Amino acid sequence: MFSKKEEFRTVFTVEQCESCNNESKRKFKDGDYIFKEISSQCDSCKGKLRISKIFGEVIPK
Amino acid sequence: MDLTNFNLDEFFGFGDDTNPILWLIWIIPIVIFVFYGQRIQLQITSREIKKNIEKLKQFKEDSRKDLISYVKNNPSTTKDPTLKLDRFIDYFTIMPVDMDPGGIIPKVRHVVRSREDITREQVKSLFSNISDSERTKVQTILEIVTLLQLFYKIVNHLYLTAKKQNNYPLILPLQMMMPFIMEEATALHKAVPTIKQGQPIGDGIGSMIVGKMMLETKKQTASFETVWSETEYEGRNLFLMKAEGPSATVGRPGDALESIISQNKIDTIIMIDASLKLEGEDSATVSQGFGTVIGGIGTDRFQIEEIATKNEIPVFAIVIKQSVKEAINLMTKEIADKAEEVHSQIYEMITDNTSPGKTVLVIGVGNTIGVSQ
Repeated sequence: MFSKKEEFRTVFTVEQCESCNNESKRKFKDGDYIFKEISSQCDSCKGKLRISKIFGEVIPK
Repeated sequence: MDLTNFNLDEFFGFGDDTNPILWLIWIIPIVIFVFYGQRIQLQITSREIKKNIEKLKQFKEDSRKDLISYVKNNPSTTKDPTLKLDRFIDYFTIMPVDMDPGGIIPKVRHVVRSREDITREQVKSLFSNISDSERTKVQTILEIVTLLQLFYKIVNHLYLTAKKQNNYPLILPLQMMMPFIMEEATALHKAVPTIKQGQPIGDGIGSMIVGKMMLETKKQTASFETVWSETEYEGRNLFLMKAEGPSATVGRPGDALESIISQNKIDTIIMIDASLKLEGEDSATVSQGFGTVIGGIGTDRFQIEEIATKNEIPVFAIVIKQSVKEAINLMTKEIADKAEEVHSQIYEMITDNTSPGKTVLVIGVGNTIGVSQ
């Protein structure tokens, strides 16, 4: 009755464009950390990308 | 109901027409429970505790193996680290005598700092070349294993003592504390993979909020593993301070404040930190208050309070509430999403409580693993 189901969280990284604030979410990669500058550019405005968040999210099965 | 014809013999089953077997069936358990009740309870309770001790042992062993393999897999490891790591895991700390509490804080700080400094050097000696970020990760995992080992040893000691003495009351406090110990131990055990990968934890939300404010500013070292920078907001000078990320460290905010205030006048301090929520409270709720919000053993809090009192600086606090599990494990989406709300609360707090020309120090408290600035 009181048993708790194990939760499995997937780790996501959110990249944000510093010019247009456009956000894109992807799976976490080794070496990611919050506020790290990304070498690739924003798809919509070619602005500078930076990691804005890293978090765990439970994905419903 | 007529109570005048109550028959005592009939009530206890002593009458001639009573079956002696039935009489025995209810009298024997009473005798057993009177004389052996505590022992039976001890057996039932100890079975539950024994299960948890096995779990604690497993947590300790798993984390130890994780630590050893993590160190071994680092290409700059000089030799087999197992023996040395096992010795570090068994390190103990003796706190200063508190019979005369006057002046105890510098003594506690000295003991804790000595331990940190020596552990850091010992960890460094395991590698030919290691970055600060990797070194702090090893140190943090080492602390987790040490803590799990301590939990296991203490719980096992109390359990075995109660069993040895056949002392039921001795096991009661342990039974009451067990759910809390297991909650923390499970959280610590689960935190190891997060630390290994350098991902941010719930406790890092304060660092994350101030880290964002520090982007594009010139960072300077304020004290060991602690950075600060200057910026401006609506005519106010803003000093921003946090532990130096993305290493797994909480920095030394007390020393940093002392260093900053020795060269600058500060009018207001705002501290941002994660705080443990009460049962029934929602996770990731934001609350404002007054006073020094910082965890740890208390030496940094004491130092900040001393400086604030001496210089008559008001200290405001903003906390993001979370459970123990959330605080030491991978940051949840709910907590990460609160960063924007807290930013606007900080700016509102600054404009509401200070006038242009004043200097405000914003401190992001917490472990800054996976959070830069």
